[in-house]
Amino acid sequence: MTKVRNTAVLLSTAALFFAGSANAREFADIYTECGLGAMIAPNNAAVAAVTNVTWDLGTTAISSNASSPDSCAGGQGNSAAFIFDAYPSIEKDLAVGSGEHLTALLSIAGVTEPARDDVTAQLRADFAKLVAAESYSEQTRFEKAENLYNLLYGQVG
Amino acid sequence: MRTIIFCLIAVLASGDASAAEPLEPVMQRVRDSRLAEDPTWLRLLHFENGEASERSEVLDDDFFLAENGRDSSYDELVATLTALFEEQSSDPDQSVACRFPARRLFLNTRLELGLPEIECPRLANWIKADQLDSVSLMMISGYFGNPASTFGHVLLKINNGSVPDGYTLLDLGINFGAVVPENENTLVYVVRGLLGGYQAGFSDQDYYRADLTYTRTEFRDMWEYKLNLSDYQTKLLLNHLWEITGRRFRYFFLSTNCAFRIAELMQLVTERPFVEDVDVWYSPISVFHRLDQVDSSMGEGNGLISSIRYRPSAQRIFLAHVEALDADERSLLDALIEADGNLDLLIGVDARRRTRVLNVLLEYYQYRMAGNLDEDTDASLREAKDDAVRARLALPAVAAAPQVPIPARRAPSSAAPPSRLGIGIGHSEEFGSYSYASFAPFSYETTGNNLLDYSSLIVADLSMAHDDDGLRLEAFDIVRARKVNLNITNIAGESTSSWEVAFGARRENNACRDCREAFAEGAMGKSLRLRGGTAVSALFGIDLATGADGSSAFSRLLLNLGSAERWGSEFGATYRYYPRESEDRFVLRWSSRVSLAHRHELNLDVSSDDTVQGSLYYAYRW
Repeated sequence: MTKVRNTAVLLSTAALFFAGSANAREFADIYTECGLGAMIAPNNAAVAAVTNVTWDLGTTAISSNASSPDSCAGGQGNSAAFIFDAYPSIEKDLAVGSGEHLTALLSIAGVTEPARDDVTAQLRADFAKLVAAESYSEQTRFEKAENLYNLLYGQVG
Repeated sequence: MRTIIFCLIAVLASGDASAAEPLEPVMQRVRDSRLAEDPTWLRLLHFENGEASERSEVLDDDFFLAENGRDSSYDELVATLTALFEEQSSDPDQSVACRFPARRLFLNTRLELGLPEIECPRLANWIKADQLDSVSLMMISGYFGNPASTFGHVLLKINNGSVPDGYTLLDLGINFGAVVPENENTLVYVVRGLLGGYQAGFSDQDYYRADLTYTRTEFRDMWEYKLNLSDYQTKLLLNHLWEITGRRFRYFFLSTNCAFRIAELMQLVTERPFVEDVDVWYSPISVFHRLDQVDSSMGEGNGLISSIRYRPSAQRIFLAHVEALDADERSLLDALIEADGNLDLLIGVDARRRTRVLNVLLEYYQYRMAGNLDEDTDASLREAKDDAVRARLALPAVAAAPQVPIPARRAPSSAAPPSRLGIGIGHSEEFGSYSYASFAPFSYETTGNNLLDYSSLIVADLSMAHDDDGLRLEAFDIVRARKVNLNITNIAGESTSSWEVAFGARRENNACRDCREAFAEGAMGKSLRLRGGTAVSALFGIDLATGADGSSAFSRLLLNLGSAERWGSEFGATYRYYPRESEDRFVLRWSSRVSLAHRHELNLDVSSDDTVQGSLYYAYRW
């Protein structure tokens, strides 16, 4: 069982960190093409003013089940959007080591249950290095999200 | 592969294959059964009030297949059936069958057409039928920070059963909202919203976005009502959402708002009266009162509600986690916050305790910085947060978040419905006995059976008295709102102010008859929760009034008690200082409410304002 589990972990981790490099999309491309950041208003007042309204009528919304068969739907598009929008929650969950947003991130990235603990441990260790950088506090949401996205998809940022 | 494609095209093109009925006999059955006037067909087309004599409320032309499909449900039905039978499309996703799957499902089922199974790749990718678990209605509590959000919001949630523990971030949220230009002026926004100046529609988004906005930025509580729908009902709902998402409607804040449109969907799939006999205003809470009624009417075990689950806001969760710390940990947390993130205070603290305190400290920073991009937050706060992240990362991960019990809040549908009609009698020291009546289309009183926790939100509350000398106005509150802030967890930087606003018309005091005045008052202060659920508030404010005595400054002391569900009482003492008059005034007020049943109440209002009067009345709520 341990051998099977270890193999599963190895394969999942490999899939996560290497398969992406063949066709992984740049975070910046997804950000631009899929209109990320549209949801985050520049300040609280703007968010408050529009939260019972809708930004658009679904033509550019990125739901996981989005009607567009490529570009912004599924996998990387969703990961990018999720990381950008929910970065503070993901950061907190990574720091603590568990939480809804961390689990959701792993789900979106396709990490299956047996491999999650090990992937989490690895991700947490690598994330600590990102956060240790002196410039971390000055980075924008875009930069932080891009770095985490690249960490997740095994690209060197 | 080519064989498969050929078969697929053959299947799509086989409108008149032997498996399906020929068209003309079907049309005859349609005419004989008057199917064009079927309530479900009319609701699929969104005909106003579900009546064939009206027209569709969908503004987009391409929602209709017939040229006059917007006005004729019969012509639209003919066009739809014709397309379903005779269309030959090389791209399944562009076919009528795949663009209007709910219409196809309804017609195929109702008319027993025997239409073949088809593949709609984009629709299948959207529905993800193999992962579908259930559908929920989300009640999002009101939010004083935005006029449109004050009365709450309703969302649909399509629940994905494939994620572990059934949690919700990756579910699909369906929202109905108005499309409002960015940075719209608030007054313009209110006026256009009331007068139909916006278009609106359904949009889909990953549920984590709704969670981010409502739970983690606006700190609203939510209740999830999981629905007990049949497979057919679920399929009809999802297929119709596919047809209607992105389509435009005209938006009226009071009538055809999020609550109404979602209630319409509920009526479409359940054929129950969610949008029958609607008053001028359909508030979000009304969806849940109706859901409750429908559920009860369906009998034990067969109801429409599968479960109700309270989802506390991030603020409540955070405060509960603070409360769960022991005294030393709590002191340490407060000290760390005061020290602007100087983590030297953690030196010498054991790892377990350090972990617990850092976990809550991280939540604190998240709470403080909610809704803002990192680069827009205060630099020292951001740096303090990053230091805490680093410190926590140096400690081992926790396997799972510790379970801290969050005090449950009862479902909003268990509260009394918001509209109120009161009938009763009263006695005035000055004028003798009188009969009394009051009406408010939306009233959550401080003494009421609601979840506002001694706060209030009342709109257009009119009360009148009648005696031998005729009719007199008692009061007309256009808006009365009070926010009683009972923040019992004194977190550094946390707002603890209570406030109150009201404006409208009233009698100047109890001793005069025809002495109406317009008024507007505002006050701020502090509230405290005492033992046994009692709350006491002290407020200071200004009252602008057009009457003989004029405007005043006032101080007000309030005592609120009651369980809310069964009864509520309020004692108020107001001391008014009049700059223009030499005589200050002292006004006492006592209000009490007892619930006889969910919709039936007994109320007592006694006031001493120059002279004493009191009213005792029965109130019916709906």
